[in-house]
Amino acid sequence: MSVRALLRSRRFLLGGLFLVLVLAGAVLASIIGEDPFRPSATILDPPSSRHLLGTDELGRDVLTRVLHGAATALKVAIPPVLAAAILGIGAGLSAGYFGSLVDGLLLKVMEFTLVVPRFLIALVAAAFFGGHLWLVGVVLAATFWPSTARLVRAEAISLREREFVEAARSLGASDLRILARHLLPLTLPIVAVNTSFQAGQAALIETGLAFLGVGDRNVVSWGAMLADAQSYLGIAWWTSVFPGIALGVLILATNLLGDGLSDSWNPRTRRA
Amino acid sequence: MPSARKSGGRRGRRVGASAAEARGRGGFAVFLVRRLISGVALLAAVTAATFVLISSAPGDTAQVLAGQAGADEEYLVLIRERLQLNRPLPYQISSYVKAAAQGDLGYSLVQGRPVRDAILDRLPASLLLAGTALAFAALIGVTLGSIAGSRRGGSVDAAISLASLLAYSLPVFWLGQLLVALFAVRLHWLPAGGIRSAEDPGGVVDVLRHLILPAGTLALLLVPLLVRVTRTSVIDALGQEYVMVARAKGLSERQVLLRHALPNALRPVVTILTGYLGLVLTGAVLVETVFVWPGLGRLLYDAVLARDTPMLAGLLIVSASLVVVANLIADIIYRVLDPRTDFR
Repeated sequence: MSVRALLRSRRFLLGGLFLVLVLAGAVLASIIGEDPFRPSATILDPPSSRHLLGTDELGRDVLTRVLHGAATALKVAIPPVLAAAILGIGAGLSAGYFGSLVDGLLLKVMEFTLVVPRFLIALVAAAFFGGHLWLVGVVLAATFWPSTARLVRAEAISLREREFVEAARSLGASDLRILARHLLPLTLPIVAVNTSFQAGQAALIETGLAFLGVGDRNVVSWGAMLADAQSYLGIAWWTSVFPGIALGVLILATNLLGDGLSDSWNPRTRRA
Repeated sequence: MPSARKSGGRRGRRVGASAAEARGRGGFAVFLVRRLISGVALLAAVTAATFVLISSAPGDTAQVLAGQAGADEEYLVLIRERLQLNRPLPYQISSYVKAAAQGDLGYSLVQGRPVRDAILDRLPASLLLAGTALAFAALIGVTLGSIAGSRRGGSVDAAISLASLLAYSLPVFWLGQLLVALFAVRLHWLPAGGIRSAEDPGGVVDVLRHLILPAGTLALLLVPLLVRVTRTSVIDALGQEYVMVARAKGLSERQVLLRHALPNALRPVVTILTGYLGLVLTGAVLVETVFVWPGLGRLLYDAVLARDTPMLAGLLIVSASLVVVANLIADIIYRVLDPRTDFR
């Protein structure tokens, strides 16, 4: 996967643009410093010059809340997924390269996590322990890494017998060096694709939990905004439409990035 | 995981079939039994893990299991005794798993009845919703995916791919909300939620009217996924040698697609459909919440809000069982689609 091919991919560039947009929103929220929980007397006010995206049922500014929601979504979408990628690479490489015991153990763990849906685990954990953002992050990292590990494992198995690995070994390279210098770089593209799709799923799970009322109540979530908006659909469309669009843009960004990465790396899916 | 060995078209499968097929059938039965056993073992592990989760929640496990409804001392004693809560953790786990294996998932104080009964009550509505959504999604998704795949690179392909990318990025609960706002609140065409109307309950037409929005929303969640997978799979199949043979003997593109490429491209579609069958519960929790659909997802939502621990644990176990069953169904369908599928 060359960087040039990536930069030629319209999907990748567009996805990057959308992601930067959401990031900018999150940064803007902390720069402006407006309190997203501050109520006002003007409730369910339609978009105007005073409140660009209107106000909600407690008179809170929707724009401010959408910007703060971006920070929340990104906090759950990015760090846990990166942690899962690192864990998955480590586990997948060692299972694929060394085989036997490590491999058998990993397969069992993967089977286990495939049987219990991630969202259900997050939901039950949030119900028992409270839906703190960090807890959701931990559940996501713990349930995302096996799928990455599975992909990396398959790559490592097919790569370990190849000539260049043989050559490195005959030159006296240690296992660690072979893994880090020769196998790791070749597995990164597939991990990047998987990780960017997972980031979208993570954001959906965070907002989904908040929508069901078990999210972190100390932060603003697009999901909680949408849940609040449910009662006012007929009279205040802006309370539902704007957080929904914001979430859609973030998911679209991660899907475009994933598509772009996979197009430029995998010739079989490359668009004509 | 079964590994499939596929090399050609299904038309070639009769060659030298009898002996190999007989051997294969025995092998397949053995394979299914093995999968069944490992599925049961997996479920026992999930059940054990569920119990560990419950017992690690803050507070006395008997209290946690009794839920927030406030149990009397007598009931707590009963729970402690039945699950051997005063003995070491391994004993507690094994008695919990044993009870679950006998269909005893505990008693929900919030609902005032056994967890098993509550779940069985809700199962039909969940299956109706999921079944309808899966059928619609499969029909639309496979059709659009085959069209896109067989016209790779054309404007139709581009349009379908773009539409499915956009649909794939729609959060399902927001989509549901928008549909309610449009078709129920504004146009008054369809009911906003529930499964029967209060004034005129009971009729099939009534239930169907209530089914349209939630099933449509759930289907829209699946269609983009199916389009993408079918498209890639059809492109792959159309590049195979048996397709070249089929074209060479003069079949029309339509026949090539429908009789040769598509049947061989269906395997990943089956994987996705049965995967979602296993996720009936969680896949639908957001949709059922938006549309107040009285299925398992809604039951899960209510259990979360009420911190109804036995219900949550029971749903976790049932959900895992659904996944295991769905995986077995998938294995059987793979075999029907391609008798040469090699299970090891």
